[in-house]
Amino acid sequence: MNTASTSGPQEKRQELVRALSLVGRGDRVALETVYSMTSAKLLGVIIRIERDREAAEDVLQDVYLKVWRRAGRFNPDRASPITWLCAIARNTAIDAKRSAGRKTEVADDDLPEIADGCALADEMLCDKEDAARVQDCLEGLQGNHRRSIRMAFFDGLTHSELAERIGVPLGTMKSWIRRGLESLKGCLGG
Amino acid sequence: MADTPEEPMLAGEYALRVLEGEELAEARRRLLSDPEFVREVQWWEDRIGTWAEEVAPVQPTEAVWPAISARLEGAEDTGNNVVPIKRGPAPWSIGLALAGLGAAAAAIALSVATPTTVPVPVPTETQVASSEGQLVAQLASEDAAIRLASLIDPDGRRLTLTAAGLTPAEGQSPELWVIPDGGAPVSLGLIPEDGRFERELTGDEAGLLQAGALIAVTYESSIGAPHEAPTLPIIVAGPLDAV
Repeated sequence: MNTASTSGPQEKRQELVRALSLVGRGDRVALETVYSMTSAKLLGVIIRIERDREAAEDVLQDVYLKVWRRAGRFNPDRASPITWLCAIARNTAIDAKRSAGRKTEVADDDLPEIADGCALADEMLCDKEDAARVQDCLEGLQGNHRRSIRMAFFDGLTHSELAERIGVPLGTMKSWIRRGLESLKGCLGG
Repeated sequence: MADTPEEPMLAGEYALRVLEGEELAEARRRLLSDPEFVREVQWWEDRIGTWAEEVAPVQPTEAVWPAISARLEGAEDTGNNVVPIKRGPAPWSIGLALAGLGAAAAAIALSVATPTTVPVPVPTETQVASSEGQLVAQLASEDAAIRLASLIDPDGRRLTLTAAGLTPAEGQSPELWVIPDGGAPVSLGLIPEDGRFERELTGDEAGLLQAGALIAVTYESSIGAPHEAPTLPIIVAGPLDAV
């Protein structure tokens, strides 16, 4: 399962791009390579949102079936392969949670931790430069704005769920997120 | 930038997935009708997407990969031509149209009388005869791998479409949407992944399917169609034109 354990992040990223390209042409062995290289990362993303391991593993299955269908549309010029895969995982997990109308509460202690910055780059094929820039801009945000945006992202929460979780009025939460995104956009030059 | 003074960060909020209710409906409408908004959502997704790399990995149990592999086998065995349409309890009702869709849009009569006959290319070997007064939408993905030709008969009561190359994930099906000018998307129900499909239109549907309306396809859950609103990504989209 550790196909690329000896190579560096850049080589890993290239290997993942190659494997995704083969998956796009219907190569199932390549899908297993993609799975070996990325499933633990994607499960980490999904579990934070689903908050239940069994449900998260069901979502993980759906995610790789989507990857199988969509790999032909992956564009390596637009995003790093792991960012693309994580986005599919995050969106699939959020869709699953919202369509089931689930609102389970699990203490954050039980969830995978979130590293500062891109500390896991070696292991996880990070696009270090892009991630560092976004991270720097995020660090520059006002505390409440940063906290709300990060919680929205990692836990997959809506405006009203965030307001409830943090204990502020809905209007305040919307304003924090909006102003945080505005600062972020200015910093990133969007 | 497609942000407006009233909704300065709608694309970012959509990408972050914090939106609900009316704001979510507005974002979904613009996803189908405003290419600049789509680019902005992608800009945000590509940037905030890098945060996901911070999450610590969790090794899946060993049963997961064999389950995925088995589902792939099952998907291949169902054949790849015409996929049976799974219908919900009220498959073609548009009673669930989004709030905000005006009655005016539904009341617009389908009225097209262009007196020319243009051959209508269709993406498969199936030939569909053209005739006066049809409305046609020819949709294709950038690489032309996905193609969809839809025809509305001159009396506006019959939809014929030919689809090719649609590849939804297991448990999902292609869903057809119409977006009336200035209105919210309305589902026209599920369509096949490959092959030809025909059905009668209701009067309400015919009212929405007028020249200039947008037609779009998304992948949605096979259960529960017609859905209330489409989800990203938009697979193909384009205008309905008079022939």
